[in-house]
Amino acid sequence: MIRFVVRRLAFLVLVLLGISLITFVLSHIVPADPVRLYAGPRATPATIRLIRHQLGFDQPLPQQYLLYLSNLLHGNFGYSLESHRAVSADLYDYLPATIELTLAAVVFILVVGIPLGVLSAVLPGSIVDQVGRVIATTGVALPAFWLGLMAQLVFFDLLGWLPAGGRLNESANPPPHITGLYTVDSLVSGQFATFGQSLFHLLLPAVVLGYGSLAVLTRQIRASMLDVMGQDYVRTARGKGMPRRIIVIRHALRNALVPATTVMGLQIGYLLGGALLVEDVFSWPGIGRYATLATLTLDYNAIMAVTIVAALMYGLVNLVVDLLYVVIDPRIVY
Amino acid sequence: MAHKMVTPADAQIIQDDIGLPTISRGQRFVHHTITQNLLLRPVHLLGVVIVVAVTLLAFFGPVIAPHNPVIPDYTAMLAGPSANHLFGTDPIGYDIFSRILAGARLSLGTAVSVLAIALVIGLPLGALSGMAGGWIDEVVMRVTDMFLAFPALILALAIAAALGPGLVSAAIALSMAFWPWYARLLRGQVLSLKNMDYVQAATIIGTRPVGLMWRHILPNALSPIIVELSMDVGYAVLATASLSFIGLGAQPPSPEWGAMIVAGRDYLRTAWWTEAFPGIALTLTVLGFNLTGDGLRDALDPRAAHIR
Repeated sequence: MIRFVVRRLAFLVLVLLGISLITFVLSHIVPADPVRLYAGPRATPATIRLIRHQLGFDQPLPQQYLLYLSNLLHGNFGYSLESHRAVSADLYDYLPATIELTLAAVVFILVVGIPLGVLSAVLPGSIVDQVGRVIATTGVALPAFWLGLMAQLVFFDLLGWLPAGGRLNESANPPPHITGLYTVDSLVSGQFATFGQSLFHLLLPAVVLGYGSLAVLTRQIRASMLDVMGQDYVRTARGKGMPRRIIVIRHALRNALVPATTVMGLQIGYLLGGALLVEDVFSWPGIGRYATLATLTLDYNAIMAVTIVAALMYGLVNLVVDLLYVVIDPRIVY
Repeated sequence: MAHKMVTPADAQIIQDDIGLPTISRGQRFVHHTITQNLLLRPVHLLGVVIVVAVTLLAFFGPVIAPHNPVIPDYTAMLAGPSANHLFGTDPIGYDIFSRILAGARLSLGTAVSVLAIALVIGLPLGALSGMAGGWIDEVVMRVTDMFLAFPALILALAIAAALGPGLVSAAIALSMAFWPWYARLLRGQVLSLKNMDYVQAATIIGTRPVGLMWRHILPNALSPIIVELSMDVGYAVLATASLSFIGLGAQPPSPEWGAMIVAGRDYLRTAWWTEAFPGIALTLTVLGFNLTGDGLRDALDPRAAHIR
């Protein structure tokens, strides 16, 4: 088991090396000269040469890559042209917001998706099943950014039930920074009004972000449940007179969760990508919005940093998912 | 006995000879697929109808559009849906209906280009990886792992940002996110088909690997790839629109559907039609390809333990 974790971590390191190579290549096929961009419009040629030497851009490519790699390992992602400070500082500010949004979306997906999938399988043809099927079909077809805009139109402009964006109301003060997640921080420090506010603001973006993956998960759980419930051991349990509810939860669901966990791990990738769109629509100050704003100002250091961080998070989540299998299905031994 | 496909010329000879119509195995298969599966279930039929409609629009959209998509109508700027302007007009006066018809070409065309590039890169690599095995296989698989380690849209963002705005860079960027799936898919198929009796028999009689690939393995490996392709067209359309929304794909005033949505953002409250209709067009298109893909999967993979 330990060997498995070590092997997977080593593999993750290898993949990260590859990622750094890809991002390094990308940052060097940029048409604009990064040194000139960094130096600004009024720099003299002498200044540009100096900066070029300081940043190591005049060295041969392999050496530049090693410099790049060592910078990454020290957490140095370079400087942001837009905010004029270290990108790592920007990331520190914006990453918690994205984590909060993604976590909220995952909670939404699990809380709604698992029961919906199970009930859809257990009560075929019922209203629940119809709803589940509609969600499953529309979820993968709806553009996330369009869904967000339409949701804003309906829930904010037309109905006035939910706020249109941001993590808190305009004049509100954020809770003390413990984790960076406003919901957790405000709850822990007893600021219940802030907690309610942050939940309110979190609701719509999380639902919009999670909707597509909800569709996929519901479909997967329904399919797995139907598959499992047709198995012989379930029929045996029914034959023994086991109550249906226990069969569904203890036997069927447990087995159906294994492929569902795989699917969920993959969906985290889509959630991180979707965060780019949803954070833009809802003005959510996370790294997704940071990246989209950076593309407008050609702030490549920022874009590359977000890319690497996103890949790192994705990799770690999938490692955790693989470890979760052992918990869900005791037969799996690494 | 050597087996060769019945060519139309042969069919003509046979028909002349015995007076019975003869079609090739491939034609019969496609015919069966279409009639028995795609057209039979209403859901899949709907998907096919949508796909055909959108494809026709991609070819003929600008021709059948009632108004010119790039010439504004100054008498009706930001006007709601009416008889003259079915979907209303945008702030500049462009007819939204015409722009949606014209944009089909951009959205669908880019999606098709994305997948074409992905296939050109992914299929040969997958075939090579599966057939060669050994260290070539390892290297190719590690490379696909590296590309798959990125969330797709984020990878596309990084590449498109490096290449510059525009649909061409967006197409290249997105293809980098799609090709690993096809490489893996084909590799998996090749690996499982390599051990089939007929492939081993062909190897024994001296068929070269290329011949093996082309004549025996590929035709049988194509089914899951075709299913994947049909669903991926929808996702590629969505991804293209997403990149345009961020500002990296099509630039306004391009009638690409994603660019239309981002262009109308400021007017969401006052002129909902500028946003609603392109989004509906996007959703319907993706839905159509998904349903068609479902139908194809049912048709081509009857042994799969899928649930309808």
